[in-house]
Amino acid sequence: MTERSEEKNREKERPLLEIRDLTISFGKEAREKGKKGKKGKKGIKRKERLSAVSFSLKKGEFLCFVGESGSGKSIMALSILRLLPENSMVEGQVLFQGEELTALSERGLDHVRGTGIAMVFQDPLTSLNPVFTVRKQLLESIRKRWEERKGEKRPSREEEESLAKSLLLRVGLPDPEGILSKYPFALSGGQRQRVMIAMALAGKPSLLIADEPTTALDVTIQAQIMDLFRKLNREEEMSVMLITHDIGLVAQTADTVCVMYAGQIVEKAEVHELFRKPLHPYTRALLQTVPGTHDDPDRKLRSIPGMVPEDYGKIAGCRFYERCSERGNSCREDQELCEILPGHFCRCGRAGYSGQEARRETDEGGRDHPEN
Amino acid sequence: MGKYIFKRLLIALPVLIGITVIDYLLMTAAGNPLDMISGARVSEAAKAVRAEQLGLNDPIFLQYGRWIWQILHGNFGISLKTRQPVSEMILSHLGPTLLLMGVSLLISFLFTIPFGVYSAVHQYQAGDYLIVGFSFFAMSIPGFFLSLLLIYIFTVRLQLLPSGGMMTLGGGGGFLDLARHMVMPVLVLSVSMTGTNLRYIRSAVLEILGADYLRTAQAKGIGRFRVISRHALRNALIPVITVFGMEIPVLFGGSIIVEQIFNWPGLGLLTMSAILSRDYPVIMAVGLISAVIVLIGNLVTDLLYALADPQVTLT
Repeated sequence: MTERSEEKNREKERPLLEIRDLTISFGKEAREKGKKGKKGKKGIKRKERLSAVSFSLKKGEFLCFVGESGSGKSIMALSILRLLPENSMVEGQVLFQGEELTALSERGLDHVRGTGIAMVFQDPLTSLNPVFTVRKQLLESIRKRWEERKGEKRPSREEEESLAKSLLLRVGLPDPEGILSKYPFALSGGQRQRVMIAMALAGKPSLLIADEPTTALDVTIQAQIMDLFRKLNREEEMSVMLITHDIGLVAQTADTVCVMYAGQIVEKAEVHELFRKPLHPYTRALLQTVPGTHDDPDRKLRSIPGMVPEDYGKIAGCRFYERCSERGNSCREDQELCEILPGHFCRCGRAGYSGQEARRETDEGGRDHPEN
Repeated sequence: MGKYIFKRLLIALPVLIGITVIDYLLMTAAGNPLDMISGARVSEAAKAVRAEQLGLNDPIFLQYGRWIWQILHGNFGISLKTRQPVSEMILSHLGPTLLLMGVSLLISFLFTIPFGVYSAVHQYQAGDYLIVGFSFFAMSIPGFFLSLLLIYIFTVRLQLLPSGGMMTLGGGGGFLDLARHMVMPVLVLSVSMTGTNLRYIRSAVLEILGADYLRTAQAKGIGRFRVISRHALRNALIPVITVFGMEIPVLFGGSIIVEQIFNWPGLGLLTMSAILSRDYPVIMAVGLISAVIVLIGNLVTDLLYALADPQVTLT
């Protein structure tokens, strides 16, 4: 890793993953994707689901994306490894270890998949192949790693087997022998998700993307899985990009949090900063929806009125306007993501003002962010 | 596995008995067998004596019991028309039908699976439209019409293929001769099957292609080919077996017309001529044999399911 002055980044280290102006839309015209789908521009029925999202992720960082369903988080995650359905159109840059992923061929991308970036998906039952045993699916991921490193001697069948077992132990499955010969339907939800994680780890990826990995699981299992992610991140220096709609899960695990709303990042900050001084009205509203164990008896959980708007790509001005309790006249204009406090970005023109208010609020009684 | 087969055979028994009852009752309702056996010139008195001899005056369940007893001993009676034992006739005609069915089924699946998968993988592209178009055509064209069309092209015009039969009369026979005779009937049967099967396989694979586990496989970076050939195809096997199971009775019905047109000496031809000449013992036997074959086909399908789908356990 050389220090390049041309890369006018404050960080001296090159980010592991850098995303610039990622825009994703779905629709009919998008199917005939020419080079990077520039052709689809004239499309009429296309719906924009992600609008010019940029962020970077450092090596070893634990980055969380939070937002309601339909805010474009999952789509963004899937687009990194180009796993979106065919009618999608992706514009912008995805740089992984300096390599432009959007320019790669499908074959070229296969070298990154699994070994560079691995993914864990939302529903572990449907994400595992129902007709193959865990052994077969796990060994497939293990072998992929050796396919990538051509020169090295391939491990024997026994070595692969013991590697598979150690992976299962690492993700907290105590009886690897038994698990290996089972089919996915014979496993519990938590076990399945652990198998999924083991499969993702098999390729020794430098980045693990987890797309709502705990949504389909019981709350107790959720906590265990989150612990596992944190452990992998801290002890093995694996970068993690976690997508969730549960802001409560984020508090204890993440380093940095991006709050997403309607296809945009509306706030980005280091985790403690974000929970202490949430600047964007949406972030504050999200925090108020989470129950905590140390709540005042009088504290009321508040819901956010309304829904994420349907075709949010077309909204002029702040996309949260309709649901915002603090809206004003300036909100009619497009909002930029600005650095309001050092390292704390917010897409709200009133953030400077409302930030003050937020600070007061959190000092008074809003500090009860969840601990589950 | 052995236990399961035994159990399934036990379950099949009442079904089979039901079929024999229906078979028997239908034929009893068809008329007085004496009138069929004997000509018009036999006197009423002689008929009455003969009826007593044959036990036709006994209660119907006794007659049914006697019939079943004979069948269990392999005696399906004597053909009214040819005066041959029916069992012999069935045996000699079963082989050609099974040959025709088996080859058609095989060819249909050899064609259907790769093209169905291709069609799904390349959905809404030129190749897909071509395949879907063909399947629509194949489904719509009636078997008898296609047969006549083929005969016109290959026999009348090009004079390449024989229009009927299984072997050239007086010829040396052999495999090539048989194959030449089989081309057209097999083509007709497999085209109609292929039409529907293509649609089944295509939609099954399409559903699988959208499945989450295929996305997982894709995310592993094992390459598109292995994603399809390993993960998708293995799952597509389950609907393929369903189609296979449904195809067996359809084939039996379809072969009647095709055998008739191409003069193929199979069960279909036998059935058809038996119906035309009101040869009831033969019709009864064919009905029974077809039912048994369909039952066996269902059993085989269920066993294949257990092999293909780990969630199905045979108990």
